[in-house]
Amino acid sequence: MNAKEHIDDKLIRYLLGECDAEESREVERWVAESAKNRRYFEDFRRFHLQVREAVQWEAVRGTYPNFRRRLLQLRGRRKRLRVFAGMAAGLALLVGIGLAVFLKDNGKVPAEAELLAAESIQPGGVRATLHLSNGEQVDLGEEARQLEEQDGTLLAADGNGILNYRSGEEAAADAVYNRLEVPRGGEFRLKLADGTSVWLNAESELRYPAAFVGGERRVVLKGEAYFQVETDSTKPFIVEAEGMETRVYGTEFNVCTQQEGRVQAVLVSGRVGVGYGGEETLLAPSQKAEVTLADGSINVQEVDVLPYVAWKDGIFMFHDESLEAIMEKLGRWYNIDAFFANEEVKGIRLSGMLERHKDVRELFRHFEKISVARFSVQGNTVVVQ
Amino acid sequence: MAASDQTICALLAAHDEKGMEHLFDKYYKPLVVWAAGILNHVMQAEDVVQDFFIRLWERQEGRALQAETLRSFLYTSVRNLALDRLEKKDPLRHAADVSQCERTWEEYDTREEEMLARVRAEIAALPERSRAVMDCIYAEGLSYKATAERLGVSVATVNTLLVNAVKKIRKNCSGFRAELLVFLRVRRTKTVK
Repeated sequence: MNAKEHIDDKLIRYLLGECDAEESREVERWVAESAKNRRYFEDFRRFHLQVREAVQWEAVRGTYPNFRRRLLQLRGRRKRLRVFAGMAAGLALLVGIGLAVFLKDNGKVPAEAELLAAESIQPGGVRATLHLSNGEQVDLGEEARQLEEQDGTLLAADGNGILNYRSGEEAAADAVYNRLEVPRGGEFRLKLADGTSVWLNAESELRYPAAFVGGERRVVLKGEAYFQVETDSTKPFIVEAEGMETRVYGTEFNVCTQQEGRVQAVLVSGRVGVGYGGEETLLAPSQKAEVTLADGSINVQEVDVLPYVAWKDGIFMFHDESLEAIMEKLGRWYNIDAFFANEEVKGIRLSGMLERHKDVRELFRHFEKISVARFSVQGNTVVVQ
Repeated sequence: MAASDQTICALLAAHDEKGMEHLFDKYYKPLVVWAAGILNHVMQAEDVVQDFFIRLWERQEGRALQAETLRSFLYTSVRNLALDRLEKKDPLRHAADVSQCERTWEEYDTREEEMLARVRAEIAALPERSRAVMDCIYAEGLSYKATAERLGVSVATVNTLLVNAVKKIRKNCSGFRAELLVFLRVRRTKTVK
């Protein structure tokens, strides 16, 4: 290290941890060479710290009015949460990142629907189809399996509905894509190569690289999923759903849903940015962003987050939702179809909750008590009037 | 003019929201930058400080604060919360910043405000590209490589832009620094008990 002008260059890299082992030793030798060098280094380090603090100071975005909203809104939410928590009997409050998107209703008609005896409707279970990068399909259920992808990534399904990815010894050069498809009446959990956990709901699918390569971690979702994203500030985690992109900044946020022609993201805590085509909109906790696909508009509003995320903990929670939307959600898990004999009841707004492993008729009985709707179960079809 | 610690503690003891506002105005930014020094990420630092303030507001401990120890309580708590959070992050990338984690809050608290203001002004005067590089590296803790990818330039360009920016700030602040040193000696002798 001789030329004076190269010193600052190397010192900055040294202080930022960008030097390799040899360069670091070189800097350390230079510093130890003389008292003058040592003083120069200490002085430079202090100055560098000031630069960093100055940049950080300018990057602070929080203002009291924004913070105050969070403060007051949180109080409101806590109160309501307590009510719900009482109902849910020990429902663990969600930590981590969640995001859910409901698939557009594609008008599928279940083929063998009417053949089953109607005594009780069975809830869904652990079920999924894995599409490997070579096009091979593997059905996953309640047995353990081990697989290896072309890039050396190891896949292990544990038989309890969790599929684990572990990167191979060598870093992969190109991304190799997998797709996990969860049918109606199924659910599955994924642990991706970066440590991110994903809960996939019934009738949903996720496309993702077996190992993440490059500057970002991008996955493509159809349906509904809850994400608990591992923090890595150098590689943003991006969820793409029907053209809406949700970019993960913080570590603790949550969920979104979709009715026909809409995609929603709901944030519990932390920070995410939602974008559709152009501008990115930052969400504050307890806010829901809804994209209308027809015109690409994004609408942000305050919501109570719990009903959006409870499914992940095995609970259906409905809060002032239309009966039509409720039946659609129940249909995905219990594999039932609703037939509305009376169009008017579709719009009735109802609240209620049910553990997902229970008989759905408990919920119907509850709805009959609190509304004019009447339910009769015939095979896999529920007639509502 | 910022409210005194006595005022803040008295208002918070009465659970008066005005106390929260004063606390925020006086301590939010310094605490965020303090936490960012540990986390190497401003947004995460903001989360840590906001969660901490909310906890103070919602729990009894916020009503029992003492004016004499408020400052040390705030800095120590935020530091511990930031370190907790740091543990969950990649330890390798941040190992370079141990000196930052070892700094005491008193050292941080008596940092040279006037100098920082001057450095901020110099940064504001830099070309946008240089500021973008500095934001990635200092506010988000990105590596040269990640910064290059984010901004669509080469790693060498990132290096050049950063080095030139830092050198320019240093050069422009050096005259100011000499004056400041005299001023600071005076101030330091006054604050020593």
